[in-house]
Amino acid sequence: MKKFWQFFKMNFEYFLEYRTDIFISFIIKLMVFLAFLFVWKTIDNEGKTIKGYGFHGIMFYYLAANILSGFVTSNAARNIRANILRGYLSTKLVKPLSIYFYYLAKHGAYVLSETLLNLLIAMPIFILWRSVSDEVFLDVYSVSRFCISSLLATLFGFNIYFLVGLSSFWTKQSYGFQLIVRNATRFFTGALIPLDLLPMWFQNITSQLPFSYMLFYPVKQLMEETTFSDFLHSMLIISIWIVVFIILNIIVWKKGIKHYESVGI
Amino acid sequence: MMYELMTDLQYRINFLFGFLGTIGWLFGELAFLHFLIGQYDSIAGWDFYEMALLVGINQIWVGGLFYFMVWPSLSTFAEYIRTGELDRILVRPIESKFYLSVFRIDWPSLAIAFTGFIVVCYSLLHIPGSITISSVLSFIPLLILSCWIVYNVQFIASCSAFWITNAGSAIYIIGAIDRLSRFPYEIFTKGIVFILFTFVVPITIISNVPARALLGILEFKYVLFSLFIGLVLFMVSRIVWKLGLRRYESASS
Repeated sequence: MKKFWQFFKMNFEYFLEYRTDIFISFIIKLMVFLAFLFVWKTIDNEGKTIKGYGFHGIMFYYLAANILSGFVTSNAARNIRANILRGYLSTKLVKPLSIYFYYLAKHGAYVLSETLLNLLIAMPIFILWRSVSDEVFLDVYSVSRFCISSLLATLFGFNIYFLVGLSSFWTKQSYGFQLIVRNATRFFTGALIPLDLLPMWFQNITSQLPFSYMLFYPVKQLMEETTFSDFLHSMLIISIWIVVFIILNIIVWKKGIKHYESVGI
Repeated sequence: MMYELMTDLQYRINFLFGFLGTIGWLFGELAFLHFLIGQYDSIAGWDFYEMALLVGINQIWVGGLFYFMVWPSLSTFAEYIRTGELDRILVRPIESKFYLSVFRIDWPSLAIAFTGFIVVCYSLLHIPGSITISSVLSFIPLLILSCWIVYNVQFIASCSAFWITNAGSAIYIIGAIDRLSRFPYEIFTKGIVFILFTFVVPITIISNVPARALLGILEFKYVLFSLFIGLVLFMVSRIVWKLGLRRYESASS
């Protein structure tokens, strides 16, 4: 475990190294949030009801979703693809470490850095804008459910992108596949619009897919009271998907490594 | 260009997935608009087809042609600065700034421009009495002007690599421009966002000005303003390029 903790630390320190880039990223994310704030403010000013949310509720949703989006994203596909394409995977194969946990450690550092950046934007807004922070439904249960569902969400996100990266054993370039998964997660997780604002038939589809449990469901834990059975049901669904993808990753890795070629180390 | 196409087609499955992924995202954006407008009929006075027109115009340039022939080059240009490999471009007998802006191509993105064109045509069919010869004749140069504005913004962002080495976030400013320039200008007319989105990162004019020209509702002051912003950004990009070259250090022979 110590070596994976070192990988985690090293990758997190790499993130902290380029502070100007962090600042620019912060500005761009703030810009995007401001734009969406004004879109929904326009809707609110025109006297239109934002069903079930209200203006402050929708702002809380986007802020919380923004924080959590850092947690459910992953750079695993990009890292694995680059290592397979350039042959750098060889240097890792000869080392006494598990490739899966190595990339999981890198993923952990990446999501922590992204989440901290998103928190830098969201926390001042929560503190200064009381009407938005009043939308939070906080008790021990909601916080613990949020934490558990977020952890499972990031684990699922890692596994799906790990699988996308492994496809590079055959296709070499898997950016297109990554693009499909990334766009699907942005839409079906509720990052673009809360899923309960969408038609019922669409919600029924997304409730069977794991994506809604990556972002929408954890955020809702902080906004309204949910029953323990609903929580267990949703955790069961995402846990099953995580197990499915772990099994897929093991199978694909075993088959893919036989196709792997590299020139020199 | 043919070389880039042959390189892309070497990875046929990736080429197909890239095409499907970007098409899927376009339809996702339209679905998002459809659900949003479906609840409210209009936003800032723009109905679904008018907003879809904005999305379509945005996709022709920002989502399509820009990613087809400019962004692959400018993102690689920033990488060359970081790794010190820019020399081999600078010593070539061709205008360096032009070459660095167009030397790489991403063919799947051309499909986005084409689908953006289809969305524009589909929207115009549902907006009665909008398209005339004069509106089309004013739309084309204004679209080219918007393209030029986006190019200069991205070029300046890529040149930031001369100073900050790892310019990963700055290079991806086009993602924010892509997501935000599809909203009507009327949303961003107050306070700090007016200054930010009109003068600093002029997303409000990129798709809005050509769209209004096509709809026949463009005021001349927006044309003048777009021209002014384009000229200012062009001059800034030239200055930044020259200052950046003075600062550049090579890492190769």
